[in-house]
Formats: sequence, C-alpha cells, structure tokens
Amino acid sequence: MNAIIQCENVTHYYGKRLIYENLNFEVNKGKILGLLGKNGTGKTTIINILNGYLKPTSGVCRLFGETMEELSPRTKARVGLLLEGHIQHSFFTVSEIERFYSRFFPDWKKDAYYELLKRLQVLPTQKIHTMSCGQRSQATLGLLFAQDPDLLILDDFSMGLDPGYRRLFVEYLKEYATAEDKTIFLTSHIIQDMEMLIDDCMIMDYGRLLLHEPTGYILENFRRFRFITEQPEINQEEGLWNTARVGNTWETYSFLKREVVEQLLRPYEATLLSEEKLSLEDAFIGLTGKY
Amino acid sequence: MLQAIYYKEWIKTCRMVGLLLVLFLAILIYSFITINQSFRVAGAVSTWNSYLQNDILLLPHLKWIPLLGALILSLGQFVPEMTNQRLKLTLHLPLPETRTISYLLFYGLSVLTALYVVTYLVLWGILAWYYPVEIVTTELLSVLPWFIAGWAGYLLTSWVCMESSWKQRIKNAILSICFLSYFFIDSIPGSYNPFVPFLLLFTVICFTFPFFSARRFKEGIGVR
Repeated sequence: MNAIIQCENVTHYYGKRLIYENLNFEVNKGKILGLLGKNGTGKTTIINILNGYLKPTSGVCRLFGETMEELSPRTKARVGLLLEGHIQHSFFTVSEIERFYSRFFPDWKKDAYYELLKRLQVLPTQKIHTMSCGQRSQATLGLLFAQDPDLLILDDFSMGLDPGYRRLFVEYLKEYATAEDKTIFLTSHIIQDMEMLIDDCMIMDYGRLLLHEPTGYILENFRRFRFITEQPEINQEEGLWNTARVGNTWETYSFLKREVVEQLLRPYEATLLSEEKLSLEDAFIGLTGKY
Repeated sequence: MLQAIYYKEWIKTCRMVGLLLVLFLAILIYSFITINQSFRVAGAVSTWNSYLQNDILLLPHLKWIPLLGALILSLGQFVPEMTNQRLKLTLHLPLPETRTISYLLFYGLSVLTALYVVTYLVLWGILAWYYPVEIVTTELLSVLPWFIAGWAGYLLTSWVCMESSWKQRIKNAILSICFLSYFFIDSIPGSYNPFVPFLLLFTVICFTFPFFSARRFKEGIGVR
C-alpha cells in the first residue's frame, strides 16, 4: 500500500461556516507534504480529523488504511503527532518524559532523544514547563524521533520558534525523513521554511483546496507578471490569479507561459510585461491573495 | 502500560496527594483531640449519653472531607489534561482509548481508596479506644456514605472536567451536585444503613460517565 494518508470527500462545517467541501487528497509513502493556508482555512481542523479528534460533517480519512475513528494501537504507534504550540505534558522533567513514553514503544530510540537534547542548555531534571518554546520544540521533536514513527503529523511546527530553532527543526526533520524514508504531513505559517523541506504542497483557501502540486512544479512554473495598462479594470481571466493594481503598475500570477499571458492581456493593451520567478512564499501570496 | 500511566499520573499529582495526606492526617488528629477532649471535660457517662440519647454524630467534621479530597485529586488529574487539549496526547498513546481512560480513573480511585481505607482504619482504632463496639460499628457505618460520596464525587468531577463543551460541562456539574446531595441528606447515625448498597451501585454506574465525555472530546464537540 503506497498511500499512507487518504482523505475522501471530507466536508466539514463549524456551525454554518463551511470549512471544506468534498476535500480529497492522498499522501504517499516517503513524501513530505506541506499544508499551507491562511488563518482559519482549516489546517488544524484537518489534522484533528486525520487523528480522529474531530468528526467531520461527512467523508472519511484513513491512516495506513484504517479509518480515523478506529485507529488501532498498532497504527497509533506508527504515527508521531506534534500538537500546535509543541504542547507536551509539562509537569514532567526532561528525563521523566522520556522514561514515560519509552514504555509504550518497543523500538524506542533513547539515544535519538538525548542526542538532540545535547544541543540545548537543559538539564535532565529540568521541568518541561520551565523550558523556552524553542527548547520545548526540540524536546518534542526528540521524543518523536525516539518513537521512530513511519508517519509524522506536525501541526504548525514553526509556531513561536526563532529563526535558529526553526532552521534546526527543519534540518533535523529533512535528514530524518530522507534517511529513513518517512512520510511527513505538516502545516506551518512560515512558508520559507517549507520550501527547503516539502515535496508536495497543498494550499487551502476558505472552503476549498486551492492547489495540490509538487513544490518543484510550483517553483518552476508559477510566475508573477508585472505590466502597465491604462485600463481601469481587468476582468477575471482563466489562468490568471489575483490580478491587481499595485501603485502605477499591475501584477498578476500564473502557471501559463509568458506568450499565453501576453495574449490574455492583449485586450487590455498591456505594455512592459515582465516575468519573475517566485519563492514559495510569494507563490502562496499569488495564489491566495494578500488579504 | 498500566505502570506507565500510573507513573505519569503520580508525577502529575504527587503534590496533590501530599496535600491530601496532610488534610486527612489533620482530620484524624482533630478527631482524636475532639473525642479525647469531650471525655476529659464532660466525662464518659455524659459523652456516651449524648450519643445514645441525642443521635449526635461523633465525627461531624468528617462530613465533607472525603468529597473535598476527591475534588482536589480529580481537578489535579484532569485540568492539566484538558488545558491545551493535552488529552489528545494521552489518547494518542498506543492503547485502546477505553483502556487509557480506565487506567486514568483507576489511578485516582486507587489513591482515594488507599487514603480512605487508612483513614477509616485509624478512625476505627481511635473510636474503639473510647467506645464500645456497638457504637463504633454504628458510627463507622454512618460515615460510610461520605466516603462513598468521595468515590462518586471523583468520578463525577472527572466527567465534568473531561467534557469539552462549557455549556455541557455546566449541565454536568449541576447534575453532579444533585446526584451528590443524595449522600448528605441525613446525619442521624445509622439512617443510611439500608441505602448503602444503592449508593455503591450508583457509584459503579458513575464510572461510565467520564467515557461519555471522552467520546465527545474525541468527536470534537465544543472544540473549535
């Protein structure tokens, strides 16, 4: 079985507010998939649904072929879960928490945990609640590595981390995933970190999945076009994303080739058309809009 | 696995358990001093007479203590679980969820049972030193519903704490207060004796309540 995560026709509402309608996606073994979206587009919601902590209005998700509401202990042992904000049982000390989790996983890798903690200025007797957010993130990551799960689900892993800790987290994660052929499903607000890490990218908008493509494809093909026109307005054209006036120039985003974009803008007498390659963050803005 | 869950709960609640030990020890010392004082000041005849003729309980100060202890322990156990929805971490452990919740409750019940049994035995010793066996038996049976209320109160507080929706939590709390009031209707010695098996049966039923809250938590009811 190649698909580790499967979501089929998931629809969810909070009260009357639609979060998704008929959301479908799969994550295959060995892939790192990043879920991007503005605040309130349902990133944490999908993580809750995947782990069986939220019953969707309709639809089904499966992890390793098991439906989310009935995950067996064996499957749970194969899934490492990072909650938003690196939440852990904060009453434990650094060594107590390792001792606690080690009892549940027969292949527990104690060294992986302590290896990661060596880089932090923490004592084994230090309580988790006295640690900084960055230190806690590393301790939590260490616990996940020690568990050695086949699938990692990380909810907003960059939340509250300074650039150094974010980079450290991403580097360890990348190395872990590539060396051990692990599958990772993650969300983050800091998109520049994702660019280094993710193979596939899912971008959510309010109520729908906007895009699900390989990151390489987006970086290679999605472009920003700047141009000048005297026209007061430009209609929504098929293939052009978020066309808007910025100062004296206009900008639009597209997967289309320059020649095709030129052709689409001909009726508006566009001149001085320029094309730019984009970072993943700029591509995200281009796809979802600034506001 | 049971050992690991007990280890976690112990680390989480050891301070609470320490506090409960102090509370129960204080109440035992107070009981001893009160009984000793009444015998010393009023004399044995008057003290026995007031118990036999006036239906006065020997240990009225004990009334709310087992329940108070249960509340402290349950809050100490489940408030940290519900803060930032840490219960998700516990339910994500590779165990059947029913078993995980059962282990959490077993821990609390074990701690309370140990405290209650020791307190009960020491009280028995203190009373037996001053009173005849008939009075001791009646008195110990009279305070028994308060201890059973402790177990029920622990389970009901866990039910309230684990509920994820505030609206439902308030409803559960009101229902719990109503249920628990049945344990404290009358204070006349021996008045509860025929009722004790029903109180025990009700407490056993209460064990199932926290599982409803856990199920609702799992379904994300009241969670945004």
